[in-house]
Amino acid sequence: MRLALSAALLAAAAFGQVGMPPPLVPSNPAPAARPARSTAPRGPAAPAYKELKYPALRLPEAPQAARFQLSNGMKVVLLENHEVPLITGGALVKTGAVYETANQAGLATLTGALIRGGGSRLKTPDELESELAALGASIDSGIGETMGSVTFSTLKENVAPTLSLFHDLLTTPAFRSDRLDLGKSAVMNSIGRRNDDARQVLRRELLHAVHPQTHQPEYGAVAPLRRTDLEQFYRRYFFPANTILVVSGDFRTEEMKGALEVLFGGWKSDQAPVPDLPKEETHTGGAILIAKPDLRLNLVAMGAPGGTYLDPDAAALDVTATILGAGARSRLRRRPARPTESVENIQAESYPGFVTAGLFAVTGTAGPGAAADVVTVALDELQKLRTSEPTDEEVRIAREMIWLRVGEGLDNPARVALAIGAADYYGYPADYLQQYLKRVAAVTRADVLRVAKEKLEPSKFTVAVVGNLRTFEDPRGGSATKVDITIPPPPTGRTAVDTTTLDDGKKLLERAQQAAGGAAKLAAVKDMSIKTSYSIARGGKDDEWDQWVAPSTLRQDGTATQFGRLIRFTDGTNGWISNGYASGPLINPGLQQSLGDLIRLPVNLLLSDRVPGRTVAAIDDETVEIRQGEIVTRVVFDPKTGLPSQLHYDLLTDRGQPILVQETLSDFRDVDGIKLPFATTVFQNGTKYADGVVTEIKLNQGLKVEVLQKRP
Amino acid sequence: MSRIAFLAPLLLFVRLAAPAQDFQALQKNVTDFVLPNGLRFVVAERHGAPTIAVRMYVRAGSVNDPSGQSGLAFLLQRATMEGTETIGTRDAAAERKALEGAEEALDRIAAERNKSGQPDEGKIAALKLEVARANSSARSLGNPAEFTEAVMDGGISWAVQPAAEATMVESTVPSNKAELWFLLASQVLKQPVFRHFYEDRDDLATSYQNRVENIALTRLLNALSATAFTAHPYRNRIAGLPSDIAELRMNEARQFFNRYWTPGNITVGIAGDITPAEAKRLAEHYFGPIAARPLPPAIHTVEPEQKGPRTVVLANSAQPMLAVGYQRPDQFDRDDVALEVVRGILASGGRSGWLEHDLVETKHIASSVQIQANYPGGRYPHLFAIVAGVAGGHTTDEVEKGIGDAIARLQAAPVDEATLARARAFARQNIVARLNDNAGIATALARIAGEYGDWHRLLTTADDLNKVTGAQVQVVALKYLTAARRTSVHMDPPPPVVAPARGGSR
Repeated sequence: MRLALSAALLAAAAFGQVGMPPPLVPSNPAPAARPARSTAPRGPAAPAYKELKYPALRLPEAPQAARFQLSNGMKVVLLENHEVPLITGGALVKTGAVYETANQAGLATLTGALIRGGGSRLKTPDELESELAALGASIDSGIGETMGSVTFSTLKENVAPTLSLFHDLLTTPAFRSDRLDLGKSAVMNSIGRRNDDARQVLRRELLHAVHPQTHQPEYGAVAPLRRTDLEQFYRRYFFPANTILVVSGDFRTEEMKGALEVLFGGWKSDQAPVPDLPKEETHTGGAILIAKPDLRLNLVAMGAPGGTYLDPDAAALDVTATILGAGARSRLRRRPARPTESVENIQAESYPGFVTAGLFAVTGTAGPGAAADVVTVALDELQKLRTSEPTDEEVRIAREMIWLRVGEGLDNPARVALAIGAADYYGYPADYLQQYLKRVAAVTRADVLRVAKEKLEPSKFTVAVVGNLRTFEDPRGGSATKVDITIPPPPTGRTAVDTTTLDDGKKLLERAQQAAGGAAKLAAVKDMSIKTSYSIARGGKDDEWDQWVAPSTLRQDGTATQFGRLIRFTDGTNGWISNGYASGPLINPGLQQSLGDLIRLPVNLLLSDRVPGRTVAAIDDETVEIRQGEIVTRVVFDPKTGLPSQLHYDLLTDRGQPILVQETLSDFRDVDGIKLPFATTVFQNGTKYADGVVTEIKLNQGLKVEVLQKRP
Repeated sequence: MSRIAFLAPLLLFVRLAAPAQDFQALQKNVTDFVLPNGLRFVVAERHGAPTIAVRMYVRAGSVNDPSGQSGLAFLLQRATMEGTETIGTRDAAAERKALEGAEEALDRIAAERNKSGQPDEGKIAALKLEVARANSSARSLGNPAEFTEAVMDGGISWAVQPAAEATMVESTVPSNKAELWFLLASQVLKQPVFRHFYEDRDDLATSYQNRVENIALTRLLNALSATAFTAHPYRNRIAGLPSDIAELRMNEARQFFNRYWTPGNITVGIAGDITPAEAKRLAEHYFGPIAARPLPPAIHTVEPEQKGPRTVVLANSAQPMLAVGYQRPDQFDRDDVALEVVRGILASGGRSGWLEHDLVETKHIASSVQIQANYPGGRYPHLFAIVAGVAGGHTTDEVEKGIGDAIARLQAAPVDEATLARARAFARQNIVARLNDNAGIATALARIAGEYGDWHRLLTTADDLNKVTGAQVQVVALKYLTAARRTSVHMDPPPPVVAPARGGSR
């Protein structure tokens, strides 16, 4: 929960903002001339505001950039700005989700997040976090549809150490396993939520209908992704000749140039050039329907191709869209409401794209049964634009609005620098925005009529409807194709188990056994009693008392704020569950959980190489996957101590989707010569679930199976 | 690859630059001037975008609400957008007469109610009719929407942000419409007409519950202000009290406006595509004719010294929260910069700030922590405030103890260089990063010039932060972050919340 102190107090600030609906008083369009009065004169008469004359908007200055190339092929763009002692920048890398194969959808996003999130070879993510905090600096990374970037921001006085950390992350990211798992579960979380917001669904499906190549991450593609996959993707695209580094701020070009040459000059790679960004197809026409039963209103969008920034007609389309439906003065907003049309919030916009044509889109909400109204209203207004020219006033207002929209971000030098870098990246002229603004300023009434006729024929639009409908009859004719947006469930995945991975796994486990006190001592433990007190993040507590007798008897006696008392027992195959009064058989998913808990008990875990039917396979140099039957647990070992530091496993639920659980283990203390963890934190799907503190561990007390298995 | 090799060339960056070398371009591009009537302008010329950010900083806020008229300053934010004598009326003189007539009738109703003996209900009923007639007449002559339309047609955005000791009027203006902004804003200062006053007032009174009472954080902070300040008007609620709001009068608003929205009490910050010469010309032409008025009376109430800790417990919150405030000197005090560094030590950089690290990351007793070194404002002695959301299964007492422990560390010994460096970097970064666009620069210039009289203070503060020592930090911690100066507000939860499906435990 972010507590924004001032925001809450100023919750009513919106109360004072422009944009509130006009009151019921009828509007009086009288000139604002000042009436004669007998009171004391108030100084020279100010001209009535309606009579003011305004100069034409002035094209903003484009800053000058210095460009050069390092000997290893990396391109550098530098822009000095001495306004404030800040230096920012980013490495733009030619990569993107467009380069993924279909069965890897999600790899680009994950790799992008892990460049920063997984730490560098030399520094763990936590170390990086502290160092950046100490410098008042930040570094971020990400890969989108058509570009990858690693960006930084720093105070001028700390540029050297920040650039050093930035260099490490860009050139030697470590993709640490624990962060990979966190990253995966974050991506999988968002997969699970991608149909929650109807507006997002609408936008996504419309874009997909118009540009069919865009694909999205799926469980089946993300779940099996391993560190090597990310490393491979990273290596293929992140190399000097494929990178443009932009730096802007308070430095001197010659000094920065020299420092970058030294810092990055040693970055070498012999990757083949990356093929150009694929040209995306554009489809037009047709209608799609996405059924979303939880909606009361229908969301409708109509999209036609909108051109790229270099397209000569993109500016005219932008003006046309603005006249049609942007702002209080637009056609759609001023259209008188008709009782037969149940349409709200109908608007239009057209954004040019960079690589792919942008979209000219009309969107609106309609009452139940009235989805078609959005289309008929839009077509009606479009028809007017295709028949006669707009007024001069409309064109003027639209041009000004677009100038403001495009020009607004240009007052931020750091952002402008990255935009200049992006222009280089996409092969655009450095002043493409200025050129676009000029074109917008030159759009005439005749231009609007022409592009409306040529590009905005009704048949060119793809209609997308999201609502509680079973069918949708397109007013243009025909019915909408239904699109099923059900999220494909995750498949079951398996890790390769071969002699190499088994050997490596055994080595890691043996090291952990040594670190914990030695295999002999561990094997000598015949029973354990562990008491843990958990505080649940969402509220409440859970006190657990686990008692185990070798080899596989486990009784788990818990008292939780939420459930009250819950006692579970298993003998390694079956079991029972009780609430203190009544009991019944322990069945899945509870049985699976208890069997998993049995495997994950501290001593048992480390002796996994001695259990028949259990395999221990290494999946990288810090992680093993322990598998017994259907139960899979991944253990991450602390490279410094050799002790287990994290457990990752799936928790089956009775609702279908398993929950990815991660437990961190810490505060290892000596109990009878064995190192055991006394603190644990539990995460579910990347979010913290609970903190556990072990209050007592007792070994070899002579616990009896008959006592443990007795039902209360 | 060896890291030593490129340390040397990078030392090129470690210039022990004199402070004057920082902010070079900003210093070159900023001009300020004061009109004869006292209205101050600070202009930063930046031609990157075809826009201008304007921030009109009025030194008037809830601290100036007269007793019994809380919410007055707050209500003005809307009232000042309903037009002027020249914008939004068919006949200014007739409308003024009608509005004055309504006020006069309301005065007579009040007099009738306040007199000793039974009020004459018949007389009151007749007066109410008069009010209604006068209002109806005024309404037919005035159009409160015209001002808003003029603003929007000009492509201008206009928002008013109220606070404890100031009101900020924020606009983004297309650069070719600069003159329109000067015309509209000067008209508002010169001759506003609060056309919709009573409707706005009633709307504010009825929406109070939703806007204020139902927001736990607002209740928490209101309680902090009310308890820490027993006399000083920092105790006033910014949004006022429903009982006061319901009785506010337009002539009271007018009086407040005349008193506080005077040219000498206002600073305008401008950043964007405009030359200082042009800004000056427009300022002189439009704002020049506004007559100077005396500055409002200063607030001279001094909060009596807090001699011991104060605690308030509020009940019934879905999310337990804690607010702690320590009495501290005003923003002009020499200890101000060191306190800013203290904030950086406790709050900075993601998870490195002491409180975030201890309470959230390590002990998991808080879900979030925020620190405001100047609550609810800075001009008068105020509070160093810490607000925390309490994590599930933990109590406000635990969090308060955690805060106390962190402060005790600050008091026990001077902090080490590394922590100091981090805190200074954080504090500097906060200043510098905001100056990255027109809006940030205009806001900073208006506020700093409005409070300190000189915008250059922005630069010297950025520099002074680098001079604060560990010893100074210890001194201010010992001086101000003491139990005697502390006010705590505990918002305690109801019985335990039911959590969803179990999982993840052993």
